[in-house]
Amino acid sequence: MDFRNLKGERLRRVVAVLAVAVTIYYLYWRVTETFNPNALFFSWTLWCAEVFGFFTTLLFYFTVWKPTTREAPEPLEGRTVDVLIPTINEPVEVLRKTLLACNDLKYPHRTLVLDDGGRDEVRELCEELGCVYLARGEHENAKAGNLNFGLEHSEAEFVAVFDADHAPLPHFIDRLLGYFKDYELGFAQAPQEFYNIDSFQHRVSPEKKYIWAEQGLFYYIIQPGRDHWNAAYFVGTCAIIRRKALDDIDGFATGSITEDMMTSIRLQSEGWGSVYHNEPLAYGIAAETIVPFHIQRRRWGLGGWQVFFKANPFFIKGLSFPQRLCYLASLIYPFEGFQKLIFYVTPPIILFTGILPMHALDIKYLLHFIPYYAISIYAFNEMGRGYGGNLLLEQFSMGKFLTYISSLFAFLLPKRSRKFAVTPKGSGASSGRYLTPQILVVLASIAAIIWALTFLLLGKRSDEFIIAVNSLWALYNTGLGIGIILYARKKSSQKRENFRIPDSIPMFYRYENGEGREKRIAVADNLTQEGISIMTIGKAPSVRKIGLELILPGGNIETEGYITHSRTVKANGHLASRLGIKLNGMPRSRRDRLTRYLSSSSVSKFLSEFSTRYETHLDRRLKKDEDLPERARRVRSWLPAVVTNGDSRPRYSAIRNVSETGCLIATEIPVEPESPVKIMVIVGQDIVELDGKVARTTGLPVEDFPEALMGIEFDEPESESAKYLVKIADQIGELVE
Amino acid sequence: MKRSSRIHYILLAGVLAYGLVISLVKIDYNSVFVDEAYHIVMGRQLAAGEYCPGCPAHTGSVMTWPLLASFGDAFGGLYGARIMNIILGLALTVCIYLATRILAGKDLGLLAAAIFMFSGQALYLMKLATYDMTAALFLGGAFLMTVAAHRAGSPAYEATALVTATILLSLSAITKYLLPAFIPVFLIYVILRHGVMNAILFALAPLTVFMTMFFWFSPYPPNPQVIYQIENAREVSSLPLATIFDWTFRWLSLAYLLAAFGLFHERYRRLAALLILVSTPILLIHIITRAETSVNKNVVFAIIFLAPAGAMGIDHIAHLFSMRETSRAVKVFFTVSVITIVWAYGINNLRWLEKQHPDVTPVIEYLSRNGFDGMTVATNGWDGVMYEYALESEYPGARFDHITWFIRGDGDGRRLDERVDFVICEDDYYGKHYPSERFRDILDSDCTLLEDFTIEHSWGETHALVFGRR
Repeated sequence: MDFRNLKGERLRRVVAVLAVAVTIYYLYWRVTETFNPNALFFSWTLWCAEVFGFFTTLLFYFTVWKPTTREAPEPLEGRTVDVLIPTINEPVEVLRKTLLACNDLKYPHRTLVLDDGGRDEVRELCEELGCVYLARGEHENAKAGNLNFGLEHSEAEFVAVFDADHAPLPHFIDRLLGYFKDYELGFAQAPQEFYNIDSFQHRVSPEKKYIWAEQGLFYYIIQPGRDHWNAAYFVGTCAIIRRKALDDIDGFATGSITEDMMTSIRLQSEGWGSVYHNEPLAYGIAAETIVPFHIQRRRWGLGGWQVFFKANPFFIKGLSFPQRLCYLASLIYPFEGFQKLIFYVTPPIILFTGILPMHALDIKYLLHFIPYYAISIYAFNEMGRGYGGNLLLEQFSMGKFLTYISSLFAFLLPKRSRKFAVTPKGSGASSGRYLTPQILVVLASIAAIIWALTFLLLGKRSDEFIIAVNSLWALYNTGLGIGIILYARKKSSQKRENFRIPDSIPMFYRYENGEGREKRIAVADNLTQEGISIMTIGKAPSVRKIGLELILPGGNIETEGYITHSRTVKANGHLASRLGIKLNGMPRSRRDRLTRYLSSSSVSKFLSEFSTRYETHLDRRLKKDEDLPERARRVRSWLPAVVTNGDSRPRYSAIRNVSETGCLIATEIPVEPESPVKIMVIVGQDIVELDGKVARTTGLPVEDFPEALMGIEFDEPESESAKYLVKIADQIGELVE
Repeated sequence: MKRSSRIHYILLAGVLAYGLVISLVKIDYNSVFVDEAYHIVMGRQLAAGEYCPGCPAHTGSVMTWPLLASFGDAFGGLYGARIMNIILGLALTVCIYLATRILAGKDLGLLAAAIFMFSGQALYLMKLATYDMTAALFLGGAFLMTVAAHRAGSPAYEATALVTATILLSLSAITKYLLPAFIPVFLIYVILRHGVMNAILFALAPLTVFMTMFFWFSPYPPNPQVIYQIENAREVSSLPLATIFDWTFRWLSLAYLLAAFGLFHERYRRLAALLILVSTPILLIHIITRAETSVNKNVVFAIIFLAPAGAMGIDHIAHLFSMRETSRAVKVFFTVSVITIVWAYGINNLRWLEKQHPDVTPVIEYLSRNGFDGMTVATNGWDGVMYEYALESEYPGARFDHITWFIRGDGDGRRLDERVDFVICEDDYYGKHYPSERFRDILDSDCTLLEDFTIEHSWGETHALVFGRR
């Protein structure tokens, strides 16, 4: 996101200031005029929760006041870089993918695998892939201790750190290393991106091509905001750190299980600067179900408490005031658990007892509350620059409120409960017990509503407006609870072992049809190293075993597979079939090549088609002034095509989406914008020819897989051929799950 | 018919059936209210072509509701008159359903119908035999036709719908003296939506013709007495702004709260805003004049417009609270939950409204036991007609009149006319309007207290004292 070109920034700040002023007045009015003298404790409790919300919002506005946009400088040349991969129990296949990606890093480097699990298979993997294997005897200080052990074996000027599930893109080091021309720079951090968008912490709208990520607000707006105050923080992965800076603070900070925050604080308090480069440069695996999510957040909560009480940045020397404020904002988040608990139990208490935390809930109260609440939500949304999503954030707050509260107890209880817990990768564990708090909130809220309405109907209570308003509040909490429970259960029942990457690549498949060997062209998607889906025009083969040839840039991959399931529909006079394929007998080298392609090119391609930002109200208002042409409806397509550009050799491609005015393809042919192209779309036995020109290109990062995404504008928009393709794409779309 | 459509119409029928049953089950919730008796008696006089002494004071309303009330009364007495309003109330609910259906689809139409039918005001006014529900039906009909004109397929249909809307709005304006407040809102809307020429031809012109005819032909055209009534209401019930604000919104808080959610509806936010705006004229009159008289009934005219906006609000709440998940079951759960809250809220309001006017059944029963045909009864309020109507079959020759008609002399020498057999002194439902203290000297010197009836209201207790001639 280029914040420099974002319109309405001044207006956003004005709205934020206005919201702060309104909130201060509201809170003052609350404390001076609304407290219930017969329920002072209740009144103070709710007020304190409101004040906490205001305080965190204030810190949020301060943090994101002016988010930075950085352009990567040219990398420093001839420097030494060691890549550190701490691991303990992650599956070897996950680690293999990361190491393959590390080997693809363009900048000269060494990769050091720090195995706290002491596993032979990891040692063998390192030998096979040419990485340095290191395993320490003692396992003190968890991840920080492991990283420090790595430092003992490193002489490099810079160290890059990746979690075991984070596969960097080849240009990771090149993008970040240039920042270190500044001798005072301690570390450069990139976003921690995740590619498994079906995880617990993602919400996807395929129609709107929009992904909401629970950590999006942090990585896309808070970190760039902190960067403005020289307070970007090291998140434990996807960063490069200057070794000298680490030596100044005696290595990665121990004493907290969130070593990353502690390390950041120490580096910055020693005067080292930080940079946040807001560009996805590595992709990892997000918590797939509520179980790892809970474990991860409990660890963060516990780490937060440890830093808050042991190394509170407000009392550490060397930090600037803005840095202290930014860290304070990050440290107080575990308190949110208590705030949310108050908000969840308040309506049931009112509904059960009739006791109010204010002397009256009347129109006067609403006339104060509604403007305050409305402008607060509006300002938060605008200052979040389209990465907020209040409702989903609230839902996740419901999901983790007790996690944060329990982390405080873990901090206060004996040390064994403070053990560093690695976020498990993959689904599996039951979500039941982690959902108990949410189920209780839902049950208490519904019971309270029924109780109060029954008393109202029996004429035993007459505070109908109080009951109505608090019932709506309790229902809202119920909605948050049900939302998280249903989603958690949906994710828990997800049986897939790995996330299937929704990229589309052209391919051939061969099979014996009784009269001989038949070869057909198709498009593969839902890609993993274990299996793929195929969309093909024609009837599904009646055999089980088929030969496959995936057409990848830089060389095809041949293998065999089994059809696990198939479905055929009619599409505009053709038959279209969807096949589920389990890959079989692929040699390790080919499998690695496929893995490398998937974790770099495929991930980059499919994520580039999604937006992580929604338009705020101000965006929409300001956009109205621009005379933007209406975009034609785009339909996802699974049609193979042959693309030619002038004299170049024809290349196979897959049409990713198509409209009546253009299409999107990924192809190996290097073409400049405005160049003419000819596309021959293969629809069974028919060829549909379309001429157009390249409107935009997006290069993909991996040298071994030279490929670019190209937006094509047809020379003849709304032609019969284009309409025909859109119609077919629409119909074969029915086949997709 | 599709299954979903069948369920939809069953639910709509259920909403209407609910209104019908709730109204009928407790149709005898109270003794006849003074305005009910007035309207029925006026209607009878008008229908018989007799001189109508009460009519000039009820200008406008005499042309519509009293005739319907007397018609109902002819078939079933007071309950017959009340049933007329139940029918009108059901028709109004259908109007709201149809208007919302045109604006926002049938699901929201159903929600709007439910919000209206579940409101305490609608249920109460359906079984109160006064002109409010007639006026509300005309207003609701005008709303429906305005919406129909907005979505009209042809110019002829548009013109017809607009003219019909204008006539219905005019009828509502002559039925209830407050409803002309909607005329400027209507005209502004028609100008903005349909253009100046259409507004002149199909709204302003029919309105002018209608009103001219009304003034020309009406036997009791508006006169200074109506203005006096409004002014009097303002003077005798003028309250502090905060109090009138609280009192007004006591009945509308939930409706406005739901409508406020409509302002965030992805699709209908502007419509919700417009409907909220249209709902305000009556409230503004009360707030500006600070007159609280009948505000708890007059808010029904706001609810006509707030019901569709509230339906949009509930739809948004269900969308919001189901966390924008596509699960229909979750959305239905939240919709039903919010409607349940609206229903319980309405039942509670209805219970309050049913007990707001004095139930003078004990007084009527007392007179029934101890009175005689030809008796003269003085009352300290202008509600003698109430007893006259209630006891007319037993004592057709009895006379009920205000006590001032029977006071002879003045100052310290005031005496009660010897013809008076009974005096009924009530603390009226205002408490302050007709205090019996004004006549204390007469009562002490010429009367003996026979009975002291305690009347319970939703807002407290009052007393009805029956005196006999000493």
